[in-house]
Amino acid sequence: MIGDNKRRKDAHDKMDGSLRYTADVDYPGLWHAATVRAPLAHGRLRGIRQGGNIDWSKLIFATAADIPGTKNVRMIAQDMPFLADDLVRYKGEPVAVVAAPTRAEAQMACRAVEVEMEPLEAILTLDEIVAKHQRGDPDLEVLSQWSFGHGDVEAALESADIVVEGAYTTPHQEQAYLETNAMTAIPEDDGGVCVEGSLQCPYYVAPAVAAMLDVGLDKLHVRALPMGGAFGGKEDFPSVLGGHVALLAQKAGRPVRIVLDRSEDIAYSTKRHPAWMHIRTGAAKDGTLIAADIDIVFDGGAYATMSPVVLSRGAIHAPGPYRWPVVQVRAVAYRTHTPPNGAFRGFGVPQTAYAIESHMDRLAQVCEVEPHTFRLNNRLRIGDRTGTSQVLKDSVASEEVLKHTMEVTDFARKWRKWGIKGTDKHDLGAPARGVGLSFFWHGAGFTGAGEARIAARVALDLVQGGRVRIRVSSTEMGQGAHTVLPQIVANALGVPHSQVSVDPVDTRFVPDSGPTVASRTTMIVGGELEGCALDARAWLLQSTADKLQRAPETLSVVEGRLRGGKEDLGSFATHLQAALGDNELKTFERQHALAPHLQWDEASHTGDAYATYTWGCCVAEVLIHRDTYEVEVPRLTMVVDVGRIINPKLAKGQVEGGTLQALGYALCEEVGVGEDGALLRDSFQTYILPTTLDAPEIEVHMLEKPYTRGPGGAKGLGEMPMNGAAPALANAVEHALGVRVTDLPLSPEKIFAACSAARAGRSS
Amino acid sequence: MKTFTAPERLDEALTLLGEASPPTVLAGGTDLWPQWTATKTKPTHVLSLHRLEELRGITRAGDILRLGACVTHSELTRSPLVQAACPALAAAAATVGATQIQNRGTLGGNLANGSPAADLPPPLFTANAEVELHSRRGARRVPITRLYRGYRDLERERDELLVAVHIPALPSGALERFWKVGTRRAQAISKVVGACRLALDEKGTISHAALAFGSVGPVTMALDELASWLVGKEPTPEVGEKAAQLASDAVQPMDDIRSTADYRRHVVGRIVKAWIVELATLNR
Ligand SMILES: Cc1cc2nc3c(=O)[nH]c(=O)nc-3n(C[C@H](O)[C@H](O)[C@H](O)COP(=O)(O)OP(=O)(O)OC[C@H]3O[C@@H](n4cnc5c(N)ncnc54)[C@H](O)[C@@H]3O)c2cc1C
Repeated sequence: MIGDNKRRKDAHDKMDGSLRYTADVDYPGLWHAATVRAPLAHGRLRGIRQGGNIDWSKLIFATAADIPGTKNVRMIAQDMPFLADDLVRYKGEPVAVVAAPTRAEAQMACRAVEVEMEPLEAILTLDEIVAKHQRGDPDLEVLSQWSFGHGDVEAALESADIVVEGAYTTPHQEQAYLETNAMTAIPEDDGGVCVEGSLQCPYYVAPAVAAMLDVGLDKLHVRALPMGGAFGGKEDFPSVLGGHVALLAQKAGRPVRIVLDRSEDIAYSTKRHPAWMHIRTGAAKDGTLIAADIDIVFDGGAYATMSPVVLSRGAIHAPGPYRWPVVQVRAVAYRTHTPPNGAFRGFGVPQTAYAIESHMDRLAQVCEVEPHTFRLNNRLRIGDRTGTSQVLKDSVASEEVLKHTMEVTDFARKWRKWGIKGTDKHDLGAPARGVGLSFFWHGAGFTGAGEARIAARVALDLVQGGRVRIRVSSTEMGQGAHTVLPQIVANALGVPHSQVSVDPVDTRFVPDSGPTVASRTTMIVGGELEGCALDARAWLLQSTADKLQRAPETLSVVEGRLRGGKEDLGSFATHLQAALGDNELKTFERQHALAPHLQWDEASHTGDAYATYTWGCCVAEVLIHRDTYEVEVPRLTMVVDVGRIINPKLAKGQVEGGTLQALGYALCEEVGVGEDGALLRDSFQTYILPTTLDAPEIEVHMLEKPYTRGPGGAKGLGEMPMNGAAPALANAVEHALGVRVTDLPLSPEKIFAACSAARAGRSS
Repeated sequence: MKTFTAPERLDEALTLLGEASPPTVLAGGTDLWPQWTATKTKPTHVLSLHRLEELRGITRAGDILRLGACVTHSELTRSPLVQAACPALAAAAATVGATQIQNRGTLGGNLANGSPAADLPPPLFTANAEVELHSRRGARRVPITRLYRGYRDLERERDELLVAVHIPALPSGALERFWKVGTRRAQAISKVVGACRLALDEKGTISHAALAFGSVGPVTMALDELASWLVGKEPTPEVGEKAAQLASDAVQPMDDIRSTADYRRHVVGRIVKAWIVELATLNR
């Protein structure tokens, strides 16, 4: 069962179109909501006037003044209002919401609202905050900061033979799920409210909306509906929309839904944080690493929201999977007057992985060591200390992934042959060819004590008739969680996959297994479910053994049948019926606790940042047109260690999808901020995602270095594939042309500019 | 949308267009619909061209190819007549959007929409095509090179319908090329788009030259001065390099959401150079 390509449980309904997403669900009397947005990036609200040729008595209109309870959205930091009250901090910030019988009427009414503002000076871009950061400008508002490390960096750099310094920047990235953000609030007969929609984390939405409505959690429940993708974009943002529709539904006494259109979704929902990373490193002549000093600035956007944790994860991974005798990391997220940046697959790591892996190639070059050898020599090993002073104890696959990558890609030979300095003869009519390598890691599960704080709870019901039902708050967003979790349970219990299902995710019925984020669902939630399934199996065998007067160790469950050695004792359902007696079902519950040996100090960011890490390598091959600098990527190879593969096809899908998303990040995706603070590319015409024709052949190799506490040894997988492609592509472009572009995306325009600058430099 | 009319006869359509507030002309709708979505507006009266036979079909009479305004990109791509008489146009149509857009989008819509980044005008410029405009007042032909007066400003009266495009066929032995640099490999609007028609005489000197580029100015630009400069010269690498320089200087690109002016100038030059180099190979 573990290791089988079980078909996705949602595949059929997605293929024939019968699956209903949030916008497809009908309610009698449903109204539609739209948002009135602030016209300026920064300033004080002076008036909200309901103007126009609109009969406002026939609509529902709400501002911050209508909020009965907490005015700010409950998240990591509770600093963002549901609706701006006094201060507006980004262009397009919601200041009021409207509900009307149709979406068009709601939108028309919103356009008729005049919002008056007294402008204040706005800070809009990463460039601005980096310039101020370097000057030590006190104007900057810190949203979050962390610093950690060990050793005296200045002394170590002083002693190093070679010091290399560099700065790298990355842009916003849009999650670009197919289904835009959508939420519905439905008043219920008992006076409560149901909030449902496209959301990753029902137990984030429930307390946030309940606090806003000033009702108890018994009066508010949240349902996660089938989702057309999320990638972190539906981690914190649904709490905002959920608040808006709940407020309107309560005022209207009827169901209210909001569905963002694509340009609204791109322009105002959360993005990946733009980042600037300044790295100073020292090495000995032979290429042995001596010290790293890393300074990180994230553009947090208008509110802190998730920035503290995104920044933390980014910073922890910033030194890369390398042994640094001395390392110091300082990371800060500043406020800009642009929409808040938040969660996106990789959670801060794609930025810092791009920086450190670009930098490692440069350092290797100066040390005159080949890039793969440089990484192999300096990789983290068991017993090594990470930047947070975590000593790695097990499941370190750094050597395996690097060596396997060399084998399957023939990297060393290609690297020596191709590239501007390669041994191949260069035909100037043919595209410039290069190959690049990146090596990366990803902490699985929440950072530090996060999993202890969440203390994930899961439940498993064995039901009369033999059905096995999983109850968790972990959602299916297209990643396959509701197929893989049953696989883990079916495997442990000994029943067919078809017999196990995941209950609809509704906070009224499912325990809080934590948010569906951080590559934690299979590893943490799956791990606890495996425990429940083993408990359930033991209970059933014990009860059967008692009835048959045998020793329970002599019994087993295989493919839904009880066995005593070779003897078939009847179906699982029959024995379950006997064991349940008059009860309809029996529930098994578990709660996650951190392994006792894990120690973490949040304030100083020292200790065991993650229970375990996954390891990966990416090799990118590029062909660059010598006239237009268009980058073609014939092949990307990913070698990843995931502990244990539960479902190879789904796992491969995760790696391929994440790699393509990373390719877009590397080569073409860019939102951009206009002079007025609006995000510029707010449609799929202008925000350039790779199409199938831009997609390379993605070769995936998976290794299994088991993690003792994961189900069957599994570790997290969802995010890691996002870390590798950007630096591998940057390194490949450098290899091909001899110029390094240090800010993503690696557009033909930037490569051209870098080549022109290099030519000008050579001729002067 | 309040009224939707789809006449079968051209004169009916022209009558409607002659009214005081004429309807919006709809062909494939691939430009119009996104515009309606973006502006959250819909016209009150739409005149659909899909039943008008006169606006369909690809025919050739002698050296002239006639294309109905409602010929789709897919039809342009697949037509052996187009491939022979104006291969650059067939190539251009094959780069428009992707399959769905090519099946719906039309030649007439591409020209009438007036985008400086449209892909079909450059090959029509270099082929010296004419567009046939009809109104209640009569019919006239306008050289495509005079169709665009300024940014999205067309030499087309409100009551006129674009009915057909007439293209002088590529003479045998001549070279015609199309080159598009888009934002990605499909569903891409051009950063630079260009076409050329070039011919050599028996001595190996350039006897005919026409070059045009889109997305590098407010309208599609014919590089006429460069073309005159090229005629009479041999397509040597040096001539190619000089031509590249002249082309880069002639275009008027901007920095915008898709690309930069510097990059566009550079790419225009490299494309011209590549064409001249290829032309030289015709000699051998
Ligand atoms: C996803 C996508 C990708 C695209 N990619 C490309 C691309 O790569 N390259 C490119 O050049 N374009 C592209 N386009 C734009 C568009 O598809 C083409 O310009 C297409 O040829 C327009 O034709 P249509 O028939 O759909 O025009 P419509 O949308 O029907 O009309 C466009 C305009 O022309 C007018 N019009 C149409 N026919 C006539 C006529 N016979 N007489 C007078 N006026 C007329 C209409 O009133 C309207 O103003 C793309 C569009 C989309 C949505």
